[in-house]
Amino acid sequence: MSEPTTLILKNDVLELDSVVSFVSDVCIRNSIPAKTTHDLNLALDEMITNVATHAYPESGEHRFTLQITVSNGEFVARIEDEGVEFNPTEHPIPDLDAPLGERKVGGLGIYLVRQIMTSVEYQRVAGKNVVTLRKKLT
Amino acid sequence: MTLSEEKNGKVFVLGLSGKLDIEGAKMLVEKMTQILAGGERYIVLDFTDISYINSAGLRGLILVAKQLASSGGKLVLAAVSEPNQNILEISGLTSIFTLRPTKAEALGFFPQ
Repeated sequence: MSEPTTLILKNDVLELDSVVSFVSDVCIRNSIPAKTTHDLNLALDEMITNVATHAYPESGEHRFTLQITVSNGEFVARIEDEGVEFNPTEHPIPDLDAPLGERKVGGLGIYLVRQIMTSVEYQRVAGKNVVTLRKKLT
Repeated sequence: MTLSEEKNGKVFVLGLSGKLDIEGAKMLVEKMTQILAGGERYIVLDFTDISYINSAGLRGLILVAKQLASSGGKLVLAAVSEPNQNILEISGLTSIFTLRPTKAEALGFFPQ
């Protein structure tokens, strides 16, 4: 069981390096296997990139938070931002069976997050997007 | 990401090293455009030294596959690590790409 740890981020994709260090540290401290650590880093990369690049269409620096808790065999990441309303649980699923010629090149990021995590929850609370990603570790 | 290149008979081997992310994908697509413009058609992308692929990297790979298909070329991905192969599977890309466990086996895919 670990206390929640929080990282404060800016809307800049250069922040991804600090996300990787943060997530990897949490995983090491909780003896999470390398493959799971890889997948958790990918899921959080996709979510944080999405917030950093789309949540704040107006210019200027904005802050948002990533909080991670590991307890009762579960990894829980909570991302809160005050940007444009975006519900990842309603994001369209890409057509994975389309032949190459018809295959869209994008749209895989949120889909990957939903496949990697056990659950993705979304709430819009007081002008904030609150996304909770959970992954069972056992 | 960094790139290395070698010619092995008719096959052009592009070695990728580092992270295939948004920057890596941009480098890959630009390099492939040059390679195809130079007349190469048989391509191996060597993933031995790729630690990480995200959705921006997958987007780059799909673009490259489309470029090759429209120029009548063939592409084989070599030595994709197990976690990265899993990401390709989840994304439905293992049916689009030909994968081989080693560079030697990828080269063997092409007629000599």
